[in-house]
Amino acid sequence: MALLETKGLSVAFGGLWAVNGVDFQMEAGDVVGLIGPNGSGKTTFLNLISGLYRPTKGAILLNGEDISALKPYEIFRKGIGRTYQSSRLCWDLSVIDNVLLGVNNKHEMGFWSNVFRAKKSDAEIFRHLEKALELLDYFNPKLVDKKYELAQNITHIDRRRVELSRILVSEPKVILIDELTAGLNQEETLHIMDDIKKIKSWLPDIGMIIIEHDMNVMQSIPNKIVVFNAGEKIAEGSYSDIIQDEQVISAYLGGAAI
Amino acid sequence: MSKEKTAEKRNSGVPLLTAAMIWLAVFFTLYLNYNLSLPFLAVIVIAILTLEKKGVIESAYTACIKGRKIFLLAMLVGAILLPLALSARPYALHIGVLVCIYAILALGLNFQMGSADMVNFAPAAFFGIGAYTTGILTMNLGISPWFGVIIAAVVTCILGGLVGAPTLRTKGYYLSLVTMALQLIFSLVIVNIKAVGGPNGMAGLPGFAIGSFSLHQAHDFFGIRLPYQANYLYLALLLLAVLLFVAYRVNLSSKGLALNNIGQDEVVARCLGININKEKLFAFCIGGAFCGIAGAFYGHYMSFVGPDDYDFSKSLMIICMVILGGMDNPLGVTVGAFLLIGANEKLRDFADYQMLIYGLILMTALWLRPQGLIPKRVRNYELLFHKKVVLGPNKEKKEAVLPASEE
Repeated sequence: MALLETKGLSVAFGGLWAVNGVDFQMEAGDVVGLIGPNGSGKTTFLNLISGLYRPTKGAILLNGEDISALKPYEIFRKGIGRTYQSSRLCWDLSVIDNVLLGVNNKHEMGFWSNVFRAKKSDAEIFRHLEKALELLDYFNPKLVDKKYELAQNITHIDRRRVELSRILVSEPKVILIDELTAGLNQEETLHIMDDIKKIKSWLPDIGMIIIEHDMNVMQSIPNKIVVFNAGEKIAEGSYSDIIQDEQVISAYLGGAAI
Repeated sequence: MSKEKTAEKRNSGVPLLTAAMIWLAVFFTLYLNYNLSLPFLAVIVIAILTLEKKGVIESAYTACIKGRKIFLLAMLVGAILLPLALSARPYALHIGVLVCIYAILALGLNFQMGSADMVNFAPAAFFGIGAYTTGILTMNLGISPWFGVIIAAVVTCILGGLVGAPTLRTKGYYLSLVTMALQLIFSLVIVNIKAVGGPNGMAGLPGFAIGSFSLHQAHDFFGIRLPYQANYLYLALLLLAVLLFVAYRVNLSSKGLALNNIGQDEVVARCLGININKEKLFAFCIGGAFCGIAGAFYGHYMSFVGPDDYDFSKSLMIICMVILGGMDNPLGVTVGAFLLIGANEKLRDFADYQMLIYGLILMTALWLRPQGLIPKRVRNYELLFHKKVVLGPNKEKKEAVLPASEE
C-alpha cells in the first residue's frame, strides 16, 4: 500500500483548475521532487494535501485512509507536516518554543492538570523539550545555545532548520517541503541540502515531497521527480528521464523550443 | 527586616528585597494623598522603565524564581501586613480592593488579547454579567454570595463560549467590532430591563460572610480596628493570588503556547495540529470566567450593581491595563491594573479632566513603550522547572548513523 496517494485530485478556483486530475503515489522512504513553471500548481498541491484547500474532486489517501475531508489540524495529527515558501515561525516566541509547537497537540495534559498537577505536566513539557533540543542539536549544535533567543534574531538558514525541527519533532510520516532554499545563498543551499540528507538517513521511512527550483537540489536529493504544468502532472520519473522529456522542456522553455 | 536577612543569606536577599520593594510601592501609592501619590506613581513608572532597560528586573525575576519559596513567603507577609498598615485609611483600602478586581479582569482579558491577539472589547460586559448573575441569584433566591460567585463564574464561562462561537469566523478588526457591539448591546439591555432595576441598578446585595464572621463589618484584629474594606482586601488579595497562579500556569502550558501561535499565524497553527476553534473558545471561556468572578466579587463588595460600572469606558480601561502593563505577561497586566486604577482613583478630584489626563498618561506610555512596562518573557523552562536538559544518550547513536556533513 502506498504511503501517500492522490486519485484524480483537482481543485478549482472559480473557473480555473489550479490542480487538475493529479494521480500521484509515493512509498515510505520516497523523496519526491516537485518541479514546474511558476503558477503550475505545486504549492496548491501541497496546500491540498495539508488540508488548507478542500479538493473539488478526487481523493487523498494516507496509508489507504481517505484524508481529503479532514481539517488541517487533523491531517497534521495523522502525520503530514509541512513548511512554507517563506519561513513562518512565530517571531515573538523563542527558538525552543517554536519547535515545541510541533508537539503541542501531543500533550496529554489538559487545562486542569496544567493548573493542579503541575509536576506531572511540567515533566511532560520537559520530555518534549528534550526531544526538541535533540533535533536542534542535530541540525546545528549552536542552535541549542540559542534556544531562548527570539526566532526573529536568528539567521535565515537557522530559521529553516527550526521549521524542519518543528515538523520532525511531531514524528510525521510525510513531510512537505516548499522551496526550502528560497532566499538562501549558494553555500547555505548546500548546507540545507545536507540537512535534508541527514533527515533521510536518520528517518529512512519518512516520505518527503520537495518543491524546489534549484536543479542541483533536484539532481542529488529526490529519487523521483514529478513535473507539473498548468495544474496537471505532465511527467514523472528519475532526474535523467525528466530532463530529456520533451513535454517538460516545452513547458519550461515554451513550445517553440522543440 | 529585609536587610538583616540579606546579611544572613545571600541567595535570599534579592527575592526579599524585591518583595519589600513591591509592597512598599503598593503601600505608598495607596497611602499618600493624590497630590503626592500621582508623582509617586510617575516615579514608579520611570523606575520600572529604567530598571527594565538595565536588565535589573530580568535578574530580579530570575532570582525570585530561583528563590521562589522565600519570595512567596515574603509576599505573603506583605499581603498580611498591608491592610493592617492601611487600617486608618478606608479609602486607600477601597482602592486596594479595586486594584485586585481590575487585575483579575485584566488577567481574564489577557488570555484573549495578550496571548491570542484577539482584542475583545467586551470585558466589562462579562464583568457586568457576573455581577448581575450573582445579584439576581442572591437577592431573589437568597443563596449564599459564595455560591453566587461560583455560579457567576460558570455562567460567564458558558456565555464566553457562546459569544466566542460566532466570533470564530471573524479575525482581527472584525472580531473586535463584534465584541464592541456585544458590549453596547449589554449596556442597552441592562438599562432597559426593569427586573434588574434598569438605570437605577440593584441595591442591597448581601456581603460575604464566613459563618457568623461578616466581612461587611469592622473587626478588631490584634487590637487594631480594621474597617470592613480590610476584610475585603484580604479576600481580594487571596482571590488575585489564586487566579494569578492559574493564569501563570496556563500561560506556561501548551495551551498558552497554542494561543500564542494562533495570535501570530493562524495558518501555521492550523497546520501544526492545533484545533484553533477549540483553543479560541477556551480563551473566551476562561477569560469570561475570570471577568465573571471579578464581577460577582465587585457586586457583593459594593452591595450594588448598576449599569454605569460596566459600560464601554470600563472595557477600554481594562484593555489599556493589558496594553500598558505588558501583553501576555500575567505579572505585567497586574502592574498595569495597579497603575491605572491608582491613577484613575486619584484623579477623581479632577472629575472633569479625569479621562483627559488618563488618556494622556496612556498615550505617553504607548508612545514611549508600545510593548508595555513589563513585556512578555521568553519561557525559560530550565529556570522555571529547576532542571537542566541533558542531551540524551541518543546523541552518539544518531551521529554514528549519520554521514559526515563534509561529504
